[in-house]
Amino acid sequence: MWEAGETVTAQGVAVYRKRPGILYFTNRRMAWVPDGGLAPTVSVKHDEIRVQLVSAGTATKVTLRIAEFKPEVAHTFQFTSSNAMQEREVIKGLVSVIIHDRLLRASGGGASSANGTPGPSGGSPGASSVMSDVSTPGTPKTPLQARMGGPGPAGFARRGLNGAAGGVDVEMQTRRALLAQNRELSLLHTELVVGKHISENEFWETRKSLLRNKAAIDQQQKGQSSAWLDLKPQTGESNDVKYVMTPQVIHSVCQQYPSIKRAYDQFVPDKLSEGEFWKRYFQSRFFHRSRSGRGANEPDDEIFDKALEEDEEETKSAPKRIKLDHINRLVDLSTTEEDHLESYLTPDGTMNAGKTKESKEAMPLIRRFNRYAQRVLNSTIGPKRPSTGPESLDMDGVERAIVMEDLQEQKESSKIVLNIQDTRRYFESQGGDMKSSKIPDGVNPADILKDFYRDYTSHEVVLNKPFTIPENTFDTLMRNVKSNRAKLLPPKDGSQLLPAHLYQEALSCHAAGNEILRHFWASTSMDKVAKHVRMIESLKKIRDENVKSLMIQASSLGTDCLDAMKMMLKPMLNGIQKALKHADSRPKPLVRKLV
Amino acid sequence: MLFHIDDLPVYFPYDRIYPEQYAYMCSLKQTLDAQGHGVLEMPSGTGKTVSLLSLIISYQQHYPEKRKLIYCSRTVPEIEKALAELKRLIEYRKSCGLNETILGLGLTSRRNLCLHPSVSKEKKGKIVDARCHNLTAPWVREAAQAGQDIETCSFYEELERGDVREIVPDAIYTLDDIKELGKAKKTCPYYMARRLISHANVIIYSYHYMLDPKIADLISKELSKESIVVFDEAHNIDNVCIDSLSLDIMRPTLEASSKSIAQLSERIEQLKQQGSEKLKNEYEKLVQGLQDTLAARDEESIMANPALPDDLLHEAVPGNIRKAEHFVAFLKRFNEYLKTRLRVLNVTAETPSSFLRHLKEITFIERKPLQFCAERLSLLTRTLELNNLDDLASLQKVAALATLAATYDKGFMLVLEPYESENATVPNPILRFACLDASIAIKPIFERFSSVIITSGTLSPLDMYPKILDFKATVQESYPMTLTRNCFLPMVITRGSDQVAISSKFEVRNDPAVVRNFGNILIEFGKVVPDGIVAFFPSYLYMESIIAMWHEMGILTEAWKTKLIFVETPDSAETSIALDNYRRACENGRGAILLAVARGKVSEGIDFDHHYGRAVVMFGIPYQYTESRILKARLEFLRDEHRVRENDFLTFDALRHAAQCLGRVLRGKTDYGLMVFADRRYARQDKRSKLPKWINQYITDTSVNLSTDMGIAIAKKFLRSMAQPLETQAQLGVSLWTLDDVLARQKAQKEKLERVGGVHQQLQQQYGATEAQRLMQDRASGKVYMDVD
Repeated sequence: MWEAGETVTAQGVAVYRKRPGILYFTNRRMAWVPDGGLAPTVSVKHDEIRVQLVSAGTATKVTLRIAEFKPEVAHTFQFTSSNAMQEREVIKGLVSVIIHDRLLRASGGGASSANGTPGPSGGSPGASSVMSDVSTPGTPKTPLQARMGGPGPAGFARRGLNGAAGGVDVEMQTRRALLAQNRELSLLHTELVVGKHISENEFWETRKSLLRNKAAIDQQQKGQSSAWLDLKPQTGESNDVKYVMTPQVIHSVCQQYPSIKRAYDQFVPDKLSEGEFWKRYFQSRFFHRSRSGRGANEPDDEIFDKALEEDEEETKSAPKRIKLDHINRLVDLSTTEEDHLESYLTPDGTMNAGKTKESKEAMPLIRRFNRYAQRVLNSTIGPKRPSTGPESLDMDGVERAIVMEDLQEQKESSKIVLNIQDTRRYFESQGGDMKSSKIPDGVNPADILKDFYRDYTSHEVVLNKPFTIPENTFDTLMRNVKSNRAKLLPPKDGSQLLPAHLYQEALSCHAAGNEILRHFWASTSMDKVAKHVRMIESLKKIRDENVKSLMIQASSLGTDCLDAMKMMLKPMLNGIQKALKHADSRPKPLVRKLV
Repeated sequence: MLFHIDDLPVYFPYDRIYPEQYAYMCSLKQTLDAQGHGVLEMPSGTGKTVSLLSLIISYQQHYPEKRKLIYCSRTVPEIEKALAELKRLIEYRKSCGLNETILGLGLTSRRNLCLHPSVSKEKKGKIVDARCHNLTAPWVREAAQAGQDIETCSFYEELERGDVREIVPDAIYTLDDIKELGKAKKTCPYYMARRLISHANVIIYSYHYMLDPKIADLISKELSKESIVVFDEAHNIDNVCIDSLSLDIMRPTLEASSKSIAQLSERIEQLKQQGSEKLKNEYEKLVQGLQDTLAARDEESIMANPALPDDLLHEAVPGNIRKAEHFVAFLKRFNEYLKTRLRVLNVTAETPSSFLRHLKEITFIERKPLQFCAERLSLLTRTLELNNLDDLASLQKVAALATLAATYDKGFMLVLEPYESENATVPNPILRFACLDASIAIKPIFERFSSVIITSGTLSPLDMYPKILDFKATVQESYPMTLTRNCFLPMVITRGSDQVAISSKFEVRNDPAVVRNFGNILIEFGKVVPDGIVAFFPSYLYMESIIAMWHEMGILTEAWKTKLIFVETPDSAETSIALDNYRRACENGRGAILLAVARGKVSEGIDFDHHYGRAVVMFGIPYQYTESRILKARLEFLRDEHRVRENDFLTFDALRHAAQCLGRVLRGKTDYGLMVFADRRYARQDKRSKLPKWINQYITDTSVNLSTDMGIAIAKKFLRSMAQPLETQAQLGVSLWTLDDVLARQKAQKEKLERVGGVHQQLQQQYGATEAQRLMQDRASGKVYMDVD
C-alpha cells in the first residue's frame, strides 16, 4: 500500500464522502483508505496541501478539510472514533508544520547556509556542506512555487482574498498596510475614525477599491527569476569554502538540471537528508564537470554519476520525436525543410553545426539553454497546451501576421450625439461674440478691404537691414505682460500665507468635512436614519469646533491669514450649510421615533 | 480602395496605401505591359506581397488573356501568408461587387498535406514520399484491383474515381483549406492540388518547384508561356539555382548505391526467371526512342531527371544501355570507377570534360549513355515495379552525377577532397560536383515565360542579379522608404566601450577582447530593449564557439538576468520549439534573446516584427567561408564570365544576408525597431553602399561609428521616443496615402509628363528613339518618388 520508504506517522478513523475509512498521515502525503480497501483512494502529497481548515472545538462534528493547490480540490474528513478530537489534533499539528515549513522555504529570507569544513587541501575545496537549520525568516511572503516546479501557479492566485484562512485577518492586515503606506489616508483615518466621527467599517466602506487593489498587488506572484545559476563558493577565513543553498538556489539547480531534480525527488528526504544530498552534489563529478581543470579527482557517486549520464544523454542530440502540432505554424521550420527534396549538397564547414570538437561542447549547452528557458517560461505562464479540435489550425495567427493595421482606416469610436432640442438658440449663443466685431455703420466693408490691400502691398520689408525696435516698445510690452500676469494669477492662497502646520490642519479638516458630507448624503435613505443623525452631529461638530478653532488660530496671525483660511474652508462650510438645511427640512418624526 | 493605373483598375484591399506600394505597382504594371522581366527591391515590411497580388490579379482579370500567376516564395509559412493575403484580396474584390471566378491554390510536399492515417505521421518528407509511392504506384493499384491483398490509399482511390474539377469549386485554397477539403471529400489533397495546377489562375509554391529540375519537370511542365512568374524573397535565388544542380558524393553514398545495384540485378534475374514480358516490352519501347516512353510517363513518378535538354529527348537511348541487365552492369562499372576516384590523397579539381576523358580511358564509358543515366534509371525502377524508393536515393544521386557531368561542360567543376573539412584528421573523401553558374538552372524559366519578376527587400546592388542570372531586365527599381517618423534606427557599432575595435574578421574573431565586447553589446541591449532581441552570427561554427566563450566569461549569466535566452540549433524541430517559446516570452512581456545564424533557417522567413523584435543585432559580417574551394571556383567563374570582382561579390553576398536579417524587424510603419551592425567594417563606405537603399538612407553620420556605450545611449533615446503614440493624421499624405492623395499624385504626374513632352523630342534627336524611350520611362518612374521624398 505504501511506497518504498514511506512511513505512517499518524492515523485516525475518518469518514470521507460518507464512506468509513482511515486517514493516514505519512512522511510524504496524506492518504485515506476506505474500509476494506487496499490502496488509498485519496492521496495528497505534502507539497500539494494548500491550507487546512478544522471545525470549531465546540462543533458536534469533528472535521478536517484539506485544500489542494489545484484549484477547487478539497477533501473533507470527519473523524468518528471515540477520541476523534485527539486524532484530529495530531494530524492538524503535523499538517500545520508542513505548511509552515513551506512558507519558510519559499520566503526569500530563509537562507540556510551550508557551513563548509576546511578542505583537506587546496585541491578540493567546497567538499562538504551541511544544511544548518533554517534561520528565522522575515515575514513570510506569498510563497513562490511549492517545491521545485510543483503544481501550476493557478492555485496561488486565489490565496488571500478568497482564502478561507481568516478572511477578516487578511483584510485587517491589508487595511493596516494601506494606512502605513499612504500618509494622507492615515491622517484622514485618524481624524475621522479616531475622532469617532464614523466607524472603522464605514471608513473602509467607501474605499473598497483601494483594498481590492492592494490585495491584488499583494497576491500578484512574481515570476521566477530567469537568472542562470552561477554557484560560486564563498571563501571564508582559513581556507574554508562555503556554498549557500537558499530555496531559490535549490530551485534553480533543479530547473537547470532535470536529472538532479529527479534524483532529489527520489532520495530526499527518505534516503538522504537534504544537507547530505547537496553535500554529495558539491563533491560530485556532475558539479565539477563544467569547471575547468577538474579531472577524475572526484569520488564515484552513484546518484550523481547516474544523473550526469542522464543529463549528457538528454543534451547530446536533438530529441527524436518532437510534437510540433501545438506551435504556431508560422514558426514551424520543419514544414519548409520537408517541403522539397533536400539538396544533394552538404553545407560547408562553417554552416555544418555540431561537427567540430568545440561545437560538440557547445551544443549541449545550447540545448540546456533552450530547455531551461522553456521551463522558466512554463513555470510563469504555464505550459502551452496542445489545442484540441479544428481550431488548432489557427488562421488568426496568419491573419494577424498579414493585415497591416495602419493601412486600414480607423473606425471612428462610437460617440454619443449631443442632442440639443433647440439648435437655433444654441448656435446663436455660441456666435454671441460675433456681435462685438460688427462693422460700424456707415463704413463700407469693401473700403476696409481696399485699405488693407493697399497697406499690405505698399509695405516693404527690407530684409537686408537690421531691424530696429524702439526702446519704449519693450517697456510697453513688459508692462503689459506684467499686468496681464498679475491679473491671471490668483491672489495668494493658504498654502503660501499660512504656516505649514496650520495649513496641514486646515487640509485635513477639509478632507474630514468632505468625507463626512459624503457619508451624510449617502445615508439619506430611510433605512440609515441612525447613521444620518450621527452624521448631522458630526457635521455640526466640525463646523462648531474644528473650523472655529482654525479660524481663531488664523485670525491671530492677521487678516490676510484669516481671509485665506476662510477662502479655503468656504466650499466645505457651504456644503455643511446645505446639508444641515436639508436635514432640517426632513420630516423629524421619523428620526425621533428611532432615537 | 479602387484606383486606376493608366487604364487598369486596381483593387487594393485597404483604405490607405503606402507611397512605396503605389510606386511598386506602377513599375510592376510597366513590366507586365512590356512582357519583360523585372528586378524590384521594396523595403521589408511595407506590404510587398499584397501590392504584388492586388496588381497582378487586377491585371489578370482585366485583360482577356487572363495570364496565369505563378507566385514562388521561399518558405512554407511565407507561402501560407501569401495564400491568406490572396484569399483576403479576393474577398475584398467580391465585396466590391466583382463577379469573377478565380481558382488559386498552394502546393507543398506530401509530408505537409498527407491525410493517410499512418503515412501522415511520418516526419521526414522523403519517407512520406516513398510510402505514398508504395500505396499509389500504378502496379500496386493494378494488383489491388486484380484482387490481390495489397494496401492502397483510400484518399487516392477516391480522387481517381472522380474528376478533380467537379470536386473542387473555384475559390482560393490555402494549404489548410485544401487539406480540409480533402478531409471533407475524403480525397488526397496533394494530388488534388497537383492536378489543379493546370486549371488554376494563381499558383503559390516554393521556388524549388520552379527551379529544381528534379521537381520542376514533374510539377511545372505544363504551365503556359504567357504566365507571370514571380519570385518573392528572391535575394537568395542564385544559391538555390546552384544548389539544385550541385551534388556531393561520399563513400557511404557509393556503398549504398552498390547495394542498390545488386538489388536491381537480383530483381531482373527474378523477372527473367518468371518469364515476364515486362523487360522485353521496355526494351522494345526504348528502341523506338525515349520520347514515346516519356509520353507514357505517369505523374506518379517521383524520380526525375535532373536536367536533360529537350533535344536529347528526341534521340533514341543508346543501344548499350537499352537492355536492363546491360544498364545495371553499366551503372556498376561507373560506380566502381567513382570508388577508385574517391581514394584520393590530394585535393584535385577538374572540369567535367577532363573527368569524362579520364573515365573513358579507364572504363571505356562513353558520354552518350552517361547522359541518359538518370532517365534510364527511373524508367527501370518503373519497369521493375520497385517499391521503397528512398532506398534508391544514393543510386539516384550517382545517376544524376553521370547525367549532369555528361550534359554540361561549362559552368561546372569537380572537386575531390580527401578530408571533409580543414581540421579533420580522419580521411573522409568527398567528391563535389559543383555548379558555378546560377544562370543554368534559371535559364529555361527566363526563356519560357514572358514576364519574370524578381523581388525582395534586399536586392542591392540591383545590377548584380541580371549579371549573375544572365537575363535582361526591363524594369529595375529600388524604392526608398517614406517615413513620418524614423521608425527604425540602423546603427553601426565599431568598438566596445573600451575602444577595442570589434570585428568578425577571421584573425580577431576569437580574440577574448572582441568576444567580450560582442558580449557586452548583448548584455547592454538586453538591459535597455523591451521584449524581444534577435542576434545573428555569421555562421553556426562561430555562434557555437562564441556561446561557449561567453558562457565561460560569465557574459551569458549576466544576460540571463534580464532576458530568457533561446538559441537556434541545426535541428529544425528543436529550433521551431525554441522559436515558439521565444515568441511566448515576448508576448508575456518577460522578454527574450534569440541567438541565430545569418544563413540559417531562422534568418529565412521568420518575422520579428513588433514586440517579437525590438532590436536585431548582427554580430560581424556574414561572409561565406572563403577557404571553400567551391566558392573560390565560383568567384573565378564570376570574374571571368561576368566581370564581377571577387571582393564585390563576397561583400554583396554577405550584406544581402545581413540586410535580410536586420530587415525582418519591421512590418508596417507603426512598428519600430533597432538595427545594430556590430562590426568595424560596416563603417566603410564600400560595405554600406551595398546595403539596400531604404536602410542606407537612414544611416546617419552620427550613428555610423559608435562605441557600445554611445550606441546604448542613442538606443535608449530612440526607444523612449518611439514608445510615444503615433498620430495617423501626421502620416497622411506623407508616408500614408488616401485615395485622394493617389489621385492628386496621378494628376500632378500627368501634368508633368505633358510638360516634359517637349523634352522627349529633344532627347530623341540627341540619343535616338529607343534610348529616349528608356530615358523617359526612367524619368517617369523616378518622378514618382522624387515627389514622395
